[in-house]
Amino acid sequence: MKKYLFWCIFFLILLFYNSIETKILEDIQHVSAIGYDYVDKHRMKGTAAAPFYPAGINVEPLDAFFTAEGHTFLDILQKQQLESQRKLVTGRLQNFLISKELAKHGVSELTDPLGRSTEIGRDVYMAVVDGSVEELLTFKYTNAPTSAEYLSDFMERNLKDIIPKPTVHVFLDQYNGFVQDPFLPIIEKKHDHIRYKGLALFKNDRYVGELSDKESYLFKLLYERTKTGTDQFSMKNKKYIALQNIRSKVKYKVSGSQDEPRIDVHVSFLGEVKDAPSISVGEGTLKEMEQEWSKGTTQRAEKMMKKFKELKVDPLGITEKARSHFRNFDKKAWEERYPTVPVTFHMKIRITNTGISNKS
Amino acid sequence: MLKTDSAFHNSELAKLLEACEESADFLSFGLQDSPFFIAYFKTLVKSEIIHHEVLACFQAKKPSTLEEIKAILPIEEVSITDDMTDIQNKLMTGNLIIFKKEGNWNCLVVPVPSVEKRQVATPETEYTVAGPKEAFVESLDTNLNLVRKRLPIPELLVKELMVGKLSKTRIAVVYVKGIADPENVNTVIQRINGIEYDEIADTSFLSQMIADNKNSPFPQLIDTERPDRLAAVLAEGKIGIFSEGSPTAISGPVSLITYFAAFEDYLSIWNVASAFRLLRLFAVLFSILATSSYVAILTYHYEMIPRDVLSLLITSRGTIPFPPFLEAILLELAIELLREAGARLPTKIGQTIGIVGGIVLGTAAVQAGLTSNVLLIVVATGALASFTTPIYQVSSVIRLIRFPFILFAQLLGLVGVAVCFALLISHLLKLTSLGRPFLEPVFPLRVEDFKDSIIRMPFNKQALRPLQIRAQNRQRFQQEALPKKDWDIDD
Repeated sequence: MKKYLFWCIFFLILLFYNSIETKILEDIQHVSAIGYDYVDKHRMKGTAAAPFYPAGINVEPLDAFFTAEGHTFLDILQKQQLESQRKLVTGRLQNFLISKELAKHGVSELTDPLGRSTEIGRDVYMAVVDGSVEELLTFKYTNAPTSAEYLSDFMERNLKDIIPKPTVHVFLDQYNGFVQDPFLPIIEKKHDHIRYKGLALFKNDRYVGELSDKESYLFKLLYERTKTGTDQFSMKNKKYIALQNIRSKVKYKVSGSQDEPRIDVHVSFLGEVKDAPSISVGEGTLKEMEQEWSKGTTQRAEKMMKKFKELKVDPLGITEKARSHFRNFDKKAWEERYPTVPVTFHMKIRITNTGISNKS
Repeated sequence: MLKTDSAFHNSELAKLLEACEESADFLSFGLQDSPFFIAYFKTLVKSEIIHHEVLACFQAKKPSTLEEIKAILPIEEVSITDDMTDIQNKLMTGNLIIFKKEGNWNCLVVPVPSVEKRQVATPETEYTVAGPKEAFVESLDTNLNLVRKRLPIPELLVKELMVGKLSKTRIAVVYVKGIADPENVNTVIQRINGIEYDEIADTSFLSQMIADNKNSPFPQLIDTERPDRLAAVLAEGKIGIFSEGSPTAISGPVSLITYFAAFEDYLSIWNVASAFRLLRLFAVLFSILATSSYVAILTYHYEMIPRDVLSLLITSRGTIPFPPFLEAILLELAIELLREAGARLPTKIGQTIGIVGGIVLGTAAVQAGLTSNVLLIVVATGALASFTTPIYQVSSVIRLIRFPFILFAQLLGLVGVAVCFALLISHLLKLTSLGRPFLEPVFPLRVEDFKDSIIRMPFNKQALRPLQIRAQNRQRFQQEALPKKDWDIDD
């Protein structure tokens, strides 16, 4: 009986084998970056970068771009397919770009298929492009074989130190989650390089405002625990000091009642002085530096919080923290109350190291 | 020709002698000044003993009866018999017979065997750098001697059996009484007695014939050429089986994990040994799954390939005219051919084959664009990994079961690999060795037995014999309570 069962299954597999679609690695074309520009209210223009690898040993990939206009992600992909030499597949997609113009009109149509597809991996990075996406993608950069490779390296190996990891799944989680508002990095093409510009703030799926590149590191400190990056601040006498982050932690404390909530944000920062020209670093000055940093950063954080409240966005996920604190959380009431909720920042810093030279 | 009187001519002894005389190496002659005749196969006996002992005694004493001869011959185990089958067997195993052509035709059987045997040499297939360098030889008695030397106790029992209609092979079942489970012993003896076959050349014949599942590619009894290894498993309560003419002994019951336990594991310190045993297990898994995963991923799951490897794989696969499945099968077959050719050829030519096949063919195939260099690395590492198993038979099994895995990978991708793995596991779960579960201690789960399975715990932790063997006495030694540490570092 068992033997019959085995052979039955085996022959069924053989029989239906032809109905399984094979995707042999070198017979398909891998879309590694895809970007969308705004055309009009219902249409957008998609640009797919699918580098073509010619046969041979140690060959450089050739840049290949396919542009098409359409209404949805798949619609555009199908039109791009009409031009490409091989079947375009999105399983190795690395970067997903949206133009700022498009972001202002909402991105939910675009991100929806990303959440549904089983092909899309966990490491697809998203960004908002200031300017034309097509131009940024199709430009021939001198510092990488293909623009897609430059972009992938840039997003994956560089940007993660400056801002919280901007992957599609994080975005979708924030967007579809309870109340947190998503955020994405803004990049632009500047001369012949790609440049990080700041952090785009979203209300639901629409772009509403942005943080500058300098503010976005502070945002990272407030958003998650991190071990990377440098923070620069100035002393009273306009001397600038750069601090290397050894490790920083952030903790949100919600107190009070639902009608009168209070949020306390505790950041503890363990830093190392990397760059302190013309300042004598000693016992006394260290204390002073720590105080200056705390004061300055608290001010900056408060300013940032004020901006969030004005825009009525919550990229830090304070609402989420409040929801987990209060029983019978009233979402509507909270959203109205949000701009008035007092948020206090407590910046604690300890400078442990001043580098190997102990110049005084 | 024998001078015969009519009564003798009709006797069974005469018929036997006549049948034997058809062979050129059979000698039968009458003695001078004596009523006795002598018959033997000259190729089976030591002629010096016949000349110096047997014939000399006739000349000196002039005996007149067989009993008299028996009394004066300086040779042991001399017997008088008229049982024709016994006489025939004795003649064929290096005995000479002395008889009279009158009276009741009793025969005096004198053992004067000449035994050709090889010297005890170093083990070839289970060579270890450290440890004893003795290996079994083709002589059963020498092999038993090697084992007895290591277990000098009267409880070490040897049960001798005879199998094979033509070969009359002597089989010895060895076990330690009081430790080995009598049920296991009975199973072995019963199965060996049940063997119906004409010629048994080696213990591997036995191993296949008494296996629980004769169609499984996995050998269910372990074979070894090391007396130290056999003595160790006998002490555990397992049963060893020798056969005359075979330089390997088999032992059982075994579990799958014993196939990956080299004897060297017991010679090195336990943590080192455990690390290498784990490495070996990993190598086996890698060997089974590497090529099939390559086929599955390149055919179905390109999403799994990391970004940095993607371009490498695409460019190396670019010129290849075959799909990954054919490419993999071709390369695996090439490796198997190399191994097979190397195994069949004499050592010196075998090395040349290895160089020609491995370096020349491999490089040429990659340069011609017939295989990708990535797959070449995968297949070669897989082949290398399969050779890390200490038991030779198992390494061929591992290389064989790679092919169904590759087929399933082509049919269903990684799901197929998982299906094939499930089939393999279910087969292993069903297997038994002498009726004992083969996948123990994983299934049935016996946490206690893990102390000598995927890792080897130190000897002082091995006070109990493995559960799987069902030893009569599980206590190996009395475990001493550890002394309390009341000394300081400078004491």
